[in-house]
Order: sequence, then structure tokens, then C-alpha cells
Amino acid sequence: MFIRILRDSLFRSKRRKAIVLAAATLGTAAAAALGDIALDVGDKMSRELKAFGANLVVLPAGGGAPVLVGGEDVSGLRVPAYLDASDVPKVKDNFWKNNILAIAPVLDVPARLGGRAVLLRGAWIERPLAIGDEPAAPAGLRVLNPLWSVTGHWPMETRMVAGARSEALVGRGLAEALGTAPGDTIVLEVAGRAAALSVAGILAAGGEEDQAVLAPIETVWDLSGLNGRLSRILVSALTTPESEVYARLGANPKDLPPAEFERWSCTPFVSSVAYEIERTLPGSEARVIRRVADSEGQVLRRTSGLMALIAALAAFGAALTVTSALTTSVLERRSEIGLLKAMGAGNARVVGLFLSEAAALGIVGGLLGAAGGALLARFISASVFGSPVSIRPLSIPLAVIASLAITIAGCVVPVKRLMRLHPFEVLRGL
Amino acid sequence: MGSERRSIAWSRAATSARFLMRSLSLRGPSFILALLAVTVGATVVTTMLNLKLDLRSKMSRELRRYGPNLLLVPAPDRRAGGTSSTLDEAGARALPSRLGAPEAVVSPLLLAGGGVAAMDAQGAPASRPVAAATVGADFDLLRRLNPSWRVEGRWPAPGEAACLAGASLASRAGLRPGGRALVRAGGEERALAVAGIVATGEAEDEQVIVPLRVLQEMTGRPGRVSLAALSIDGGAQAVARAAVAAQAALPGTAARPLGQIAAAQGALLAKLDRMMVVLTAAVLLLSGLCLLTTLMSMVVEREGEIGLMRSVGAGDGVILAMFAGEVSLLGLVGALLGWGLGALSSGLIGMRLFGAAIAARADVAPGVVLGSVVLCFIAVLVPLRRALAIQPAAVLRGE
Repeated sequence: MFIRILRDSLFRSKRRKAIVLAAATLGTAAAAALGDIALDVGDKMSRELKAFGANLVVLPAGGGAPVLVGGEDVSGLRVPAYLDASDVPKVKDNFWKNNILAIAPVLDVPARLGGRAVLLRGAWIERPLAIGDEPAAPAGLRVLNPLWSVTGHWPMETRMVAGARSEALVGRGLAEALGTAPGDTIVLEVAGRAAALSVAGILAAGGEEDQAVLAPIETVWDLSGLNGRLSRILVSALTTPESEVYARLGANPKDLPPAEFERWSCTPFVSSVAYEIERTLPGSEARVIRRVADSEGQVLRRTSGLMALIAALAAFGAALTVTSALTTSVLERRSEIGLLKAMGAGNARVVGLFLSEAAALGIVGGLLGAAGGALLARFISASVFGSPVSIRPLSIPLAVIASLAITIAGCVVPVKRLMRLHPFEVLRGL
Repeated sequence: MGSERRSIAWSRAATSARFLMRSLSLRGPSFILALLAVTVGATVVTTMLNLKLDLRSKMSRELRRYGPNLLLVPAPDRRAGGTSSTLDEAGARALPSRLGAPEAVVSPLLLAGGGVAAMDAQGAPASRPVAAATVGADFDLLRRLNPSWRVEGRWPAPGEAACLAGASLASRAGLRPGGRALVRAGGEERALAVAGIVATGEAEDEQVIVPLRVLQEMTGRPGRVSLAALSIDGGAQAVARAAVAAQAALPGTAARPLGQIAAAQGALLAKLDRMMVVLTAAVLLLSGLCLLTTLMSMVVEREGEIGLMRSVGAGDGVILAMFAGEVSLLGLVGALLGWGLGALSSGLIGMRLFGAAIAARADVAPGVVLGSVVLCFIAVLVPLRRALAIQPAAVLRGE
């Protein structure tokens, strides 16, 4: 009997039901799409933020490598210290290997070009780096700085062979001052010896590299005699914004209580990634480039917060709209309630009928809405970030439960109000 | 004759108005629910539009944390002259107003080679002097230019004879916040308090930063600076424009945009802009459809009432007029309420996220009101057409 009434009620007034269903579906879709994006936007944005360059730099302990400004050593009387090139994979081969997106080993050497002191920077340009059994991923300056542009071509990553000239990039500012063009040959004087390099391209980096000569690291090793040495390794890591507590304590992680230390070292804060690198690479000092790391955290916090608030607002709006649609549809059926009660149906039975109806609409609306929301989120993410948002399986049951809760809530209030009426009042249209 | 017609028209209008008022008062809860639906839709859309229109300037401010994106240095040909390798300090300080960008931050800097040594309580050098790049700066401006710098200790107060030391330099020379340092530059030595230690992970870690006036006196270059570092809002194109304008404003200088930062800032802003456009469009579409279905359900539920009105002789025009009046009222009141609430909610979001309210924009209001009214009309007219096509008897019998 109950089932028959329910089935009848669901399929008799199809138009009414279709409209409520559409409202539930649209509301759930809006909330689900924005929720999916809000959960994923942090990851997407932090990949966008990688365009700002490295957020960590690994130096020999004590900061012992020469500091060159425009080719002049400004670090004074210190005995230079270097990192060993064979240690490069260790920077990535640690607990955070999936968070370390790009690394670039660098060796800075003072040189003279056309009578002026210049900085000769040897570096990995772009070469595969394999860690353990994982497939090799590209590493080097080109990966680390996706916004660098080169007129001409990037130099080949080969060692100097007899007869063939090594290639180098000349910074834009330096090239303008010297009148160098791609294809020219420059004569660099390094450690008292002159060497000819062919100019592969002009580099527009927008930093100190604009006044420098950039070459593959093997070329610089051969020119300077500093074989297998590195001044520093630049690292770009995917990190989460440091919370206030850890930002204050981060300077001295060893002072944290053990449980807190555990939590700190298992969260990809920029300081805990630096700590892990120092641990796997003895004799090194990993420094956080605060300008990049802190700004990243701030921008991420803002964007994620913005998206979460927008999603909450949309969910709230959708819930209210669906509730009001349902309330109207229940209020208009007061005569049906009166009839049912006049025929002897108890309050529980009438409430049960309306609630089952609302639940059926809520479940179907939730499922359709979750699917629609996932499609919408994919489309939005693909059109903004160029990569689809990852759909969390958990979002489907969540959407259904939310939609169910909203439809039932939208039903309970008006039905309870109608329950208080006597059947004859309702039937007379009071 | 004419007066009779007028009185008929008048009584018709009065009947319509009475119908409208009756309908509103009888259907109080229903009308309020419909109003709620319109208000909520308008609130969400207004919030999104306000956010979209203000987000760029808010995020630009946020991106200033990346520090300077434009350097102004003496032009290369004058640099060769040695003594003239500096800029006029007053000219550099006036740059933001001369560029017509008062929100830009400029920090004049003077560079010199030199060294630093820690001093003990008696004022005698406590450590071997360590070579260090010495930078003269206006600490107030430097701090505004680099909001992301972390200082252990404190920033020196204006006019105080104190310095900031880079973290690596401080650990080598044994400098501590609250201690004293002997700074050597330009052949002179000065004892300064060490106000704080700054860790940036970049060149500043090897520098000692002293008040600009002090370094100008020590090196005998009063009123001169080596370079001006600027932070310009708005991405690579804005920086390129400012670079050209700055070179024109200060002859004999060369502007060096820090392209990577400016370009990355621009790319990020463009991405955020795009995200907000797509999201606003999606929210607009979905809340519009949601509102449409909600209002439709309300008309569908009133088919009986329409049938009754027709059976007692109301023409289609009267029914249409009644619904049109109801729906215009609904759209107008709902949209205005929604606009107000949306302004409030975007203001709250701005305060919460950016610490500055997002201004409510009046130019959003006409669009929101017009959109709501049009949507309400569509939502009512589509089911109404169908209701009017049915025979009154069939509806009243409940078929």
C-alpha cells in the first residue's frame, strides 16, 4: 500500500517532481564542482608558483663558496668550499623525492670577457635524473625557470670534444653591451687561460643571469679545472604553507617536543624539506629562499581560502534554494495530506510518505549533481590550469548525503506544520 | 463616454491591484520563500562579481611579497667614469609620484665594499674583521619593499645608529641581535648596534645593511645612491612601461626589469583572473537555472488557482498582469536585498582573506537587478503559457 502510494505520487505529477529534481541536481552540481576545485586549487596554484624559481638553495656548510657579483668575488678572504657533484642525486633521493620538482647544480667562476669581469655560470641545462627505480625526470635550470627565454637555441649538454667548440648562452644585458649575437664566438679568460666558446643563444632571464655567461657544467669544469665541484644546488620543492606555530619554531626544529617534531618533519613545510636535505647530504647547508617560499605560502593561503569561501557560499545558496522549492511543493499538497489523514493514515505514515519521496529525489539529484559537478570541475580546471582536476571518489557519497540532508530538511519543516492541522480544516482549504 | 471608459479602466486596474495584494497576503509564506530564492541567487552572484572585479588589485598587493621587480642603475657609459656611478637620491625617492604610480614602493640603496667585526661590551673589536658587502638603505622603505624578510631581533628604528646583518655573515663574524658591530667602509669605521639578523636565503645573507645617511657620510657620497629597487604592481607589461618611464624621469639611468618575477606575477594574475571569470560564469549559470526551476515550481503549483480565476471570467490579460506584477516585485526586492547582502559578504571575505574589505560596487547593481527580473519573468511565463492553454474545467477537476 505504502509503496503503491509512493510510486503513484512520484510518477503522477511528473512535472513537479522533475522541477524539484532539477533544482536539487543543479544545486548539488554547483556545490560539488566548486568543492572539487577548492580542494585541488592549492596543488594547482603551487605548480603555477614554480615559475618564480627555486625556493631552496643547498650550499656547502658554512657558506664557503665564493660570492660573485658581476664576476667580482665579494666574499673576501675565505678559503672556498664546494659541494661534490656526485652528491647531486642525494638532494632528491630522500623522503621528499615526490615533492622536489626540480633541481639544478650550479658552479660560479669569475671570468673576463672583452676586458670586463663577468660571471661564468656552469649548470645543468636540462638532463634526465633518475632516482632509484623511478623513471628519469628532467632536471636543470631550464626546468627550474620555465619563464626564461632564449633567442637562438639552448646549448648542447655535451663535454668539450677536440675540434668541436662548446656552446654557451650569453645574458641579454651582457650581449647588448658587447654586441654579441647567436652564432658568434666569444673568447673567455678563465683562471688565466683563454678559451673560445660559440654563442648558442641570448638568454633573457630577468635576473643576474642577464649579465652572465651560462654554459653546461662540464664545459666550466674543463675551463676552470674545478672538476666535479659545485657552488650550490638550486631546488624547487612543492611545499605547504608553514603554520604560524612552526614558522616561529622552524628555526630550531630540534627544540620541538618529540611528537611535534615528528609531525613537523612529516609535513612538507619548506623548512622540513630543507632539514631533510641537510640530513641526507652531510656537509651541506640547505637555505630557504624566504622571498619565494614565504610569498608562495601567502598566495596559496589566499587562493585556497578564497575558493573554500566561494564553495561554502555556493553550497549555502544552493541548499536554501532547493529547500524553498521543496517547501512550496509540500505546502501546495496540503489537501492531499488532509485526504490521507481523513482516510485514516497516521501522522507517521504521512510524514514517512513525504520523507521517502524527498529522499528519492535527494538521492537521484545528488547522484546526477555529483556527476555534473565532476564534469564541470574538470572543464573549469582544464580551461584555467590546462590540466583536469583530480576527482576524489569520496566526493560522490558526500554530494549524495548533502543533497539527501537538504531535501529531507526542506520537507520536514512544512510537513510538520501541516501535521498540526485537522483533516477537515485542510480539506476545506483553510 | 470618455469618463465611463476611464472609470472601467480604473476599476480594472483596481481589481488587478486587489488581486495582486490578495495573492500576496494569502500566499505569504510562499512569497517569502520565492523572495528568499531570488535573494540568495542575487547574493551569490553579487559576491562573485564583486570578488572578480577587485581580486586583481588585492592579489597584486599580495604579490609585492616577492620584493622588487625593477632595478634602476646608472647607465653603463657613465658607470665607466667611476665617481659618477651613482644616482641622485632625491630623484630616486620621487620616482613613484613621477611614474604616476603612487602605490609603487622604491628603496634607494648605496653599495660599498668593506668589512665588519663584532665588538665586545668595552667597545673593542672581539673578532677578526670579515669582508662583507655594505649596503646603505632607508630601513622603512626597505621593509616595505621586502615584506617577506625574516628578522631575528628587530628592524632598526628611523634615525637609529643600528644595522641589520645577514645570517651567514653574522654567524661567521659572531654578530648577535642586541650586540655591537664595527662596520668598515670607504676607509672609515663606525660602531653600530646590531638591531637584527636577516635571513633571506639570497645575497642579503652576506651583507651588512646600515642606515643610508651613515654610509653616505662614510664613503663621502652625500645625496647619492648606487641603485633604486622598485616594486611595481601588475605584471611584466606594467613593469616594462614603468622601466621606460623611469629612464625618462631620471636621465642617465638604465632600468633593469627583474623579468622573471614580473612575468611570473603577471602569469599568476592572468590565471587568477581567468579562474574567477570561469567560476563567476559557472555560478551565474547554475544559480540562474536553480532560481528558474524554483520559481517554475511555484507557478506549476498554482495551476488550480489560475483555472479558478479563468472559470470566474478573468481574461488571460488579467492573469498575466497579476503574475507580472508579482514577479516584478519579487525580482526587484530580491535583487536589491541580494545586492546588499552580496556587498556585505564580499566585504567579509575581503576582510577575512586580505585584511581589507572588498569594495561593494554600485555598477554591479543594475546588472543584477535586470538579470533577476528577466529571469523571474522567464521562470513565470514559460509555465504560465501552458497553464493558460488548459481548459479551466480540466484543471479544477484535478486532471
